[in-house]
Formats: sequence, C-alpha cells, structure tokens
Amino acid sequence: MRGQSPPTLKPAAGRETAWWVVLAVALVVAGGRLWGLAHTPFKLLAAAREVGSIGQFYSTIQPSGSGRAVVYSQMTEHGVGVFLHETAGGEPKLLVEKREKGRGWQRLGMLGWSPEDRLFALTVPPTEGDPASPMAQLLLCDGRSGEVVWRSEVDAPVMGFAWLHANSFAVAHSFNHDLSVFEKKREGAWVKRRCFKQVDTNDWTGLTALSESVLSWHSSSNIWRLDLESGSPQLVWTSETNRLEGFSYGRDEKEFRIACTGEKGWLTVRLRENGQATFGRSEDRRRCAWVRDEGGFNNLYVKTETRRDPFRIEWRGALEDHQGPVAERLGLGKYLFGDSLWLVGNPLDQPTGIWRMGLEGGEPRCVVSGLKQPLRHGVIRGPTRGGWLTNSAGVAMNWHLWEPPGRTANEKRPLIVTQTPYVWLPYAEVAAEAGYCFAMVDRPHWDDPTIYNWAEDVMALYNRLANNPQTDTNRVYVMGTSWDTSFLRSMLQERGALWQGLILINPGQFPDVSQLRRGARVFVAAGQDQGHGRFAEQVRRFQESGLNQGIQVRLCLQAGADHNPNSIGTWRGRTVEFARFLNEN
Amino acid sequence: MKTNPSAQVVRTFIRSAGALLLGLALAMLLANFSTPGLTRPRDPFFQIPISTLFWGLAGLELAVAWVCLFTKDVWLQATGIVWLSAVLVAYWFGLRIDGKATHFSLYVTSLAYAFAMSPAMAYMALKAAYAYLLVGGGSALVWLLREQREGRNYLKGACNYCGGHIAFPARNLGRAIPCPHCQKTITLRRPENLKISCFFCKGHIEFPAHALGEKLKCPHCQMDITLKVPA
Repeated sequence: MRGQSPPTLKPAAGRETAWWVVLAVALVVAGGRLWGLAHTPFKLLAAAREVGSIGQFYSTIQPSGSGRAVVYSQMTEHGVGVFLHETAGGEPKLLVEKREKGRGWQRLGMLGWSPEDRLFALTVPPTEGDPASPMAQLLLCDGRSGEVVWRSEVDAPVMGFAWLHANSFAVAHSFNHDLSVFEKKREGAWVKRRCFKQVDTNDWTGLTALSESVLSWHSSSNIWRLDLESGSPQLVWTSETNRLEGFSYGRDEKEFRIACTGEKGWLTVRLRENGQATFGRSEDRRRCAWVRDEGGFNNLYVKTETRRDPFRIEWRGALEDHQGPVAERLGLGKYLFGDSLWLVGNPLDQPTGIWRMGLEGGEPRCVVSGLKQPLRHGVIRGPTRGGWLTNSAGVAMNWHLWEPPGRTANEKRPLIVTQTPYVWLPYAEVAAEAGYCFAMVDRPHWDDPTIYNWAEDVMALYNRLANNPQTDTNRVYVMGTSWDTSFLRSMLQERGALWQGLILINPGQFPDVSQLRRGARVFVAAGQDQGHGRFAEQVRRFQESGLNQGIQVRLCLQAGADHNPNSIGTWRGRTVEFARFLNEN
Repeated sequence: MKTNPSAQVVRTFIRSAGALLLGLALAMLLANFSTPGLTRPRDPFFQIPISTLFWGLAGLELAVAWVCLFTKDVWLQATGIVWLSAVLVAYWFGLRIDGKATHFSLYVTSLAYAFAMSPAMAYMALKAAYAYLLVGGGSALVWLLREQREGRNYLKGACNYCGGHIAFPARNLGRAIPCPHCQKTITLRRPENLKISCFFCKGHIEFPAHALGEKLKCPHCQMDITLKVPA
C-alpha cells in the first residue's frame, strides 16, 4: 500500500557517507567507553585482585613429629588442595586437590602422620551429587615425596582416624558406625584386618590410639575406649556437671588429660588407668600457649616445662581458629608440636600464612606464605587502632579498626562496621585501600554464642566511632557474613536510617531493605550453587525487591561456588567486586 | 529542479536516527561486557536478565540503524524508527502501570558505569534518545503520508530530448520547465507515447518518449529508421 516516494528523497545517503557515519559513531562510543575506563580505579582493583589472590589456609595443620615437614590445606586457584611442605625449604607439593564446583560442604580430611613420619593419611570426600562416586577416597602418601602409595574407597564420611602403629591404622565412619582396622602385609599391600560393625557410639571425635591395640574417642559427654582384642567399647569417663571439650592421652604417664568447661571456666582432669582423677585449672598445665588481646592486638603467651613463667611473643595480628581472650584450646596441644608452636594467621602487616616459633623464644618464622609473589599494588596494613567496648547488654568485646592511609585531620571517611572473627580479612585491607574505615568487633570464633549479641555489638561499635570527627556518619555501611545477616532484620527495623548501605557476604537471610535510607546501596556476594541453585533465585528476588524500592543492589553471584568460597578464583572475584562497589560510593 | 526543504529535514533526521541507534546499540553491547563479575537483575516486565534485554535491543537497534544508513526506502526507515521507539515507549508505560518505572534507572547501572555516568543520567539519556526517535520518526511518517496523499496526483513523464524520467505534481501539467537532466526547456505532459509514421512505408509507429533517437527496424517494412520527435 505504499505510495510513490517523492523524487527529492531518492538520492538518499550514499554508501560512502553512511560508512563515515558508522565510523564516527563508533569513535564517539569508544571515546565514551574510554572516558568510563579513565574513571576506573585500576590501582584499587589491582590491589583487590592481589589481596584476593592470597591463598587462604584452613586452620588445621599437621606438622610431622620431627617438625621436618608440615601438611596443610590451602585454597588453590580452582579449589582446595592438601600440600606437603619441607620446612627446610623448597616448594610445597600438592598431594591432592578438590575442585570447588560440586564440592559441597565436605572438606579434604588430613588424617595424620604415621609414627616415624613415613606416611601421611588423608581422605577425599565424594563429589556432592555425583552418584558415580558416593564413596570417599582414603589415601596414604609418602612422607617425603608426597606420592600416593595406597588408595582405597571407604564409606563416607570418614569421621575418625588413628594410627595404631607404623603399619596399622583404624578408620571410623559415622554413617554406619563401623570401625575398620587396616594393616600392611609383608609384601607391602594394605588390607582390612578387622571391622567392628555398628559400634554403639554417636560420634568418633578425637579418635586416638592409646596403644597398638587400644583406641579411645569421645562422643558428646562420654569418653570411650575400645580394646581391639576384646572388641567391645568401655566407658572411661562421663562429664556430668561440666561440658566435655576434648582430651589427650599421655602414653608415658598412661593418663587421660580431659578438658572441660563449666561455670568456673576451664578445668583439666588427669585420669589415670586405675581410675584416680586429679582436678586442676587449665593454667596449671605445664605446657600451653594462649592468646591475649592487648589493646585490640593479639599477642601470644607460651608456658613450657622449662619456663614456668609464660613468655610473650608479639604477634599483633589475626589468628585462625583461636578462642579469643581465653584461648585455652591452644593449651590442649592443638598447636604445640614438638619444640614449636605452629599457627595459621597473619601478624599485623603480613599476609596470612603458617608460622612457627620455638617454645624457648624467638621471633615467629613464616613457613608457608599465602602470598605467591610480592604485592605490587596492594598493601597489607592491618588494624591501626583497637580496644575494648561494652555493648548495651553489658558484654565487653574487643574491636579493631583499619584506617585508610594518608588521612588528614579534618577529612571525613566512610565507615564499615561488623562483628566477625578476627581472622585474615581481605575485605578490611581492600576497604582501607578504597578510603574506607573498616571496624569490627572481634567474635572469638564463627559459632561463638556472642553472635547473638551481633546487633548490640555493631551498634556499640557504631556509637563508639560515630563520635569520631573523622567518621562520615552519612556513609556508614553494615557488613554481615553468613549467619550474621539474620540479625540485620531487627537492626534495620530499629535504626535503618543510620545506614548508607549493607554488605552481605554469603547471606543466610535477607533483611527488609525498605527500612534503609533513600539512595542506600547494597552489595551481595554469594555462591550460585548454594542450596542446589534455589538460593540463587532467592537472592535474585532480593535484588529485584531492592531495586523496585530504589535501593541499588549489586549482586556478585558466583557460578560454581557454594555458601563459602573455596577457591582463590572465587575470593578474588568477590574481592574485586567489593572494591568496585566501594569505589562507586 | 529545487530540492524540497522538508525532505531535506527528513533525510537529516533519518541519518541522525541511524547514527543514534548505532551508538545506543554499541553502548549496550559494551555495557554487557563491562562488569562480567556482577549478576544483572532481571527486567521487571519480561523477567529476563537485563543483559539479555540489552543483547536483544542492541540487535534491533543495529538492524534499524542499518536500514536508516544503508537503504533508500524512506518508508521503511521511518517505520522502523517509529516501531522500535514505540515498542520501548510501550514497555516504559508497562513499567509505569506496574509501578516499577520510578527506579528503573537502577536496572541500567551497567550502562551508566561503563561510561562513568550516574544511573539517573544514563536513564535520562535513554529516555531522551527514544523520545527524539519517536517524535522525529512520527513526524517523518506524517510528512510521508502527506506527501503520499499528494503523490497520488503525481505524474511520471520523460524529457522529449534526453528521455530522462521526471515525476511532477499533476497540477503542474502544461508548465514549461528546464529538464532536470539535460536542462532543455520542456513542457510537462501526460506520460503518453509518441506517434510517428515510418519514413519508408508510412506505417504507424508508437513509442515511449525515452526511446527518442534510438535506431530500430520498422515493424512494418523492416527498414532501419530513427525514432524522432513527431512533426
């Protein structure tokens, strides 16, 4: 139905002209993008990339009896690996690696060195959701070369392991309550010698060999022993009035050292074979180490058989899996191996690593660093201030503050507040680099009961720092990680207008962001595989709900990652996006 | 023959619309690549990721831009511009009805940050660009319709001297004008065939004006003749 075109339009733009127009438009758009790139904080992003690439360690480390080597678990680029490192030097050897994707919650299990340090046992959990491999792998690796010398499939999950002697070990499963004993034959093959079916226990915590034929473990408030010859477990100890925390066994003294907690704090019980028990306070132990917070900085104290007065080691940084101001667990020998104290953490301005220090004094020495190459853009500053505060519930907590460099007296800076364990925190370092103050109340460990004071602690910290003339109270963000986010709801209902935004890391719950002030911003970092993908839908709905209420929600939803990030790649990705979010303020 | 000034405006608009659509398409493609680490929200209307929406929209914009810049069909060009901008305006009205248009700027943050703009500014720029396209494209269509209505009385003829095609409004019939091709003065006539008699056999020959001067065989006597202006 078209009519005829008027003749004056017939000679439309020539092809040559059109190509010139295309070129001009492309140049204009490219110029605009270059303008955008010119505003990109490349130095900050490069620093975030470097700090996020620091390979984090899992707290359990396994030094050999002689201290010659250490086996540890550390993040790799795509997952988590178990490494063997000779302390004399050289590069760590990767024994086994588990890729992050499909890994689920189960970690690689480091089961321990054999007597004489010839072998090291570890277990690889099955890939979650993979019906082809429902069994866990049990590996024995050579203690020097790291080569796998034996491999077998066992029921997953492996919940207990103990070397009976250099050529025999026991392995326990919580799934079917079976306990299997393996033995090395003369020709070198390892075979299952005995299997105790459905042992009457709920748990296999702290499975230990008391001798070559006797095992012991604790389950809830009971300590059990099992003589492999008789085959029936016997109850050794029941903790009725105190909470049983753990035990060790002195083969020379032939006594159990049982650690309990109760109303009066920690208690040590020495239980002899004849049933005679001696009670004492934990500080009475002859050989122990602990952490003390001194003005917001952690320092270490060590007491040995030869030095009754504890000596102080200046650390001033973060420690993985310590118990805060009453770090009594250190005294259980978890970190005392041979003549050394081994720790995972980072002194004030150092990256996270494995550190070793002699029990007779001396400076901490880094055995393995999380840093593979020197930082070119990033700087690890650590907290610059700290102290104690009392929250509205009357509970005293210690806090740490990271401050950006080059602050002038009257310059106001945005602030991030949180309550979290004081461990290696790349977010804090990146925030300081981005010009933010990052303040945290120190929670002794992830599931410490003080988590229920989360909102009170964060408010107390805010009130403490809001009076600081250098704090920009119009730009204060609250950061919550995992379970912490469940406490945000009530906090926002009461004081939502205080906050310029939220930073939610692996959120467990989503708060109602409508309580936030106008123009607030939210950053969410989470794994897409959490809850088999169902969580991804939840977090997307949260994002859309926020956007429709005028709250900008920046979502870093990482494919292949679960609730907790378990690879360097995932950490790096979210650290970079975190830095980008901070820079857009 | 003088150029119609309205036609010049329409032609300029169509070129500018092509350039604008090309620019928007390239900007959206670049925005999709700018922050790969972030998950874009789903658009509140179709519930598809904003990045997917950008891919689709950029494709449509490129297609219409190509039509505007590389084809000569003004109807197709104007219709394409109006269609695309009308679709987006309808989308925007859909958002308004759903009550989600107020904060839609937050859905285009990737576009904003790729070019160091605030989301509100990016959203405003998008709205301004599509308003320009809709108003301009609509105006072009109205002009074309008007021209078409007048164009129903257009006549086509040919120059008696050079045979060049000439379209002219019927109201100008009988006017003497210089031929736009050879510049000789001609009289605008109805497009009728010319009639002559064969020089040799006097047989009747009828031919279109643009065939003037051609040599051919007489259809009656087969002698070679030259088609000439009738005496």
